[in-house]
Amino acid sequence: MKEIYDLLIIGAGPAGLAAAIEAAKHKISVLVLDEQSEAGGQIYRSIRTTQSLRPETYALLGPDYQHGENLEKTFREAGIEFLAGASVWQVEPDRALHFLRNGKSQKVSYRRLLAATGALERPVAIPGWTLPGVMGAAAADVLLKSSGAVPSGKVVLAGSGPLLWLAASRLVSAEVKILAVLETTKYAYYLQALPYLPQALRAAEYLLKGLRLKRQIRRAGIPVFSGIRQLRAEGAQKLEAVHFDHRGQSKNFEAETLLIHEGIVPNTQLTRQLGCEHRWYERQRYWHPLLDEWGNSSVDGVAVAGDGGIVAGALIAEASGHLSALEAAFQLGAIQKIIEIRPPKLTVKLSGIIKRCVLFWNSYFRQIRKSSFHLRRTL
Amino acid sequence: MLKRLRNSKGKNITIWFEEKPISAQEGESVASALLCAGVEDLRTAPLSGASRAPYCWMGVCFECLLEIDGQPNRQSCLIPVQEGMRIRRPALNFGESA
Amino acid sequence: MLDSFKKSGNLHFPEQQVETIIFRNNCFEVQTKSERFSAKKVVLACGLGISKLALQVGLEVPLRPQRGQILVTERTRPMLVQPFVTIRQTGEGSFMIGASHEEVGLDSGTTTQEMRRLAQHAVNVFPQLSSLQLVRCWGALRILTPDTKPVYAESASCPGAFVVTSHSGITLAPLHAGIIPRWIVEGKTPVGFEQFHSRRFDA
Repeated sequence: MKEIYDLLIIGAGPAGLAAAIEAAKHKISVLVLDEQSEAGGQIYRSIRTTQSLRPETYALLGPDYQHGENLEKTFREAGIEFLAGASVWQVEPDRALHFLRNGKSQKVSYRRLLAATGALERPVAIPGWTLPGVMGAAAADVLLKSSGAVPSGKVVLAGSGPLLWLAASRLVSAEVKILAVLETTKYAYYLQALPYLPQALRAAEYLLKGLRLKRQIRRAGIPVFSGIRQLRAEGAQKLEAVHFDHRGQSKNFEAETLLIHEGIVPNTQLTRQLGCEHRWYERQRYWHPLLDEWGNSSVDGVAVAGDGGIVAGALIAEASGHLSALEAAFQLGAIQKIIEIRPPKLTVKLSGIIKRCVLFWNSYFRQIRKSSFHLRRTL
Repeated sequence: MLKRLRNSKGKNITIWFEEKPISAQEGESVASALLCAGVEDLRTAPLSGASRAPYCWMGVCFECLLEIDGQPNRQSCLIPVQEGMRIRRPALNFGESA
Repeated sequence: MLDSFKKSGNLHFPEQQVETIIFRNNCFEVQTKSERFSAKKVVLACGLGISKLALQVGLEVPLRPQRGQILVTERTRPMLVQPFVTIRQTGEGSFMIGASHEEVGLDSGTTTQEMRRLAQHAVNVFPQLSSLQLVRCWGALRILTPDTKPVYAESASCPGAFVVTSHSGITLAPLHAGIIPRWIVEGKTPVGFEQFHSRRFDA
């Protein structure tokens, strides 16, 4: 490990991996740190281990997960310096970064820092949420990826958002006993979302995927309760029953596992410690760092890529990582000029993938500025 | 509380939890191996004494903290099992951990 | 505390930075960026922001920031019942270690240098603490007067304008909830209070 690196990337998920791969092409020194034991972040958690040791699970997880295999392989083969199991705990104003690895704290300096620390499942503090057996729904998905394990007893899912349905779908494929899906979404919200439908139809594949997931759950004979309230977990030493109100009636299910999900929020611990400016995003109810189009934060030399900036999923994270690396290379003087593309005026010749990334990213930021429904067409 | 979806192609491994041997498989986390082996609570909360088990499975909730090979407060959901690992619940007795 | 404040019918206007205070016809006009308020009495309790506003109501209150950093450990079972000046265990089981004084202007960040020093201090006092993990650290700015004692002052040129400041707002809470409000409302200076006027700093 060197004393100082041109670009220090924290996080080896899709954003960090894509950034590292691009940065390595521009002859700048790069170090990647991640607190997990292997690259992949959460969306592609343990992709290499799953593919080599648990091929049936790998197949079950489907093409969205398998997409990460190529990314991880390209990263590994590029020979970029990577320290796994490294937990960053302090970054000083003089650009010295401290991390904990194997019980020892080490220090490394940087010229530019890219925080690609991603997002986390929003903790949902219902009564009884600390009982063993209560977990996040995305957490169960991560568990399946990282260790090939699923809940062994009866499961209830509760909450809202696409990941709830994705988790349910994967568990159904894994033949886990699901008793019910409890949706907290109020009927009124569907009506409120209607004006955005024409726009959402431009990324229809996301809507179709959602409908397919819901249909799979219904076909499996799993009851769905919508607009539930007063969700609580009960039990003595561990979860024994899930209670809720539905249409004015009290109901409950005896279960060993409750999977709750109310969306994903950016992990802002590092950007807060760095003193970056943050903004509240009312529509998704989370704080996020204030960034320009290239991912630069309000702190000089610090940029953010991926879900840690705005939660938009793995494919956009890849694109934003790619762009952040270009910006870093430019700021470090390894690239002479970056020409911005403002759609619809396409003027400059860049290679195909970069052109699409910039188009994607620019129009994405326009959407955020207009505060509109942010489902975008995949690359 | 948990079960393995399928057996992994990796090696069978023995880890030790509170001096008892536990069967694990290469490529899984310590926390997952313990929960698949029937350990229902990984630790107790220091003040209330309530049982606790992992919540987030990604390293942000700190409910999976265990002492691993003498080092306290390791996030067991992030650490892959290794042959012969010695795992203990967190020591609540001030200054008595290894 | 905030709930009882509001329940008593009091009003709280957040994000209203006061820019000017004008004393006119025995009344104070308080101007923020977007609003104007008027009152018969004004209490400046805004810490490091006091000096600038106090001048507008005829009081000179020299204040300077001083940074303190603290370390917080993981929770463990209750061991230390007696709080020490620099080390204490909270009701939730964490140990808090704080013994630093830095003159760094308005920087409320944390530094590894000070963290190391605080950790070493804690371990020197209680060697067993070395087995506890550190969970977080904080930096914050104390509001210091030149002699570190509080300032409780009413303006002579603008009667009804008060300054209340100390760097021990929590320790002195009983006083701040008892004698001080009566002093402000009734206008009679309590015995001995003269010593806390800011004129003691005049050259």
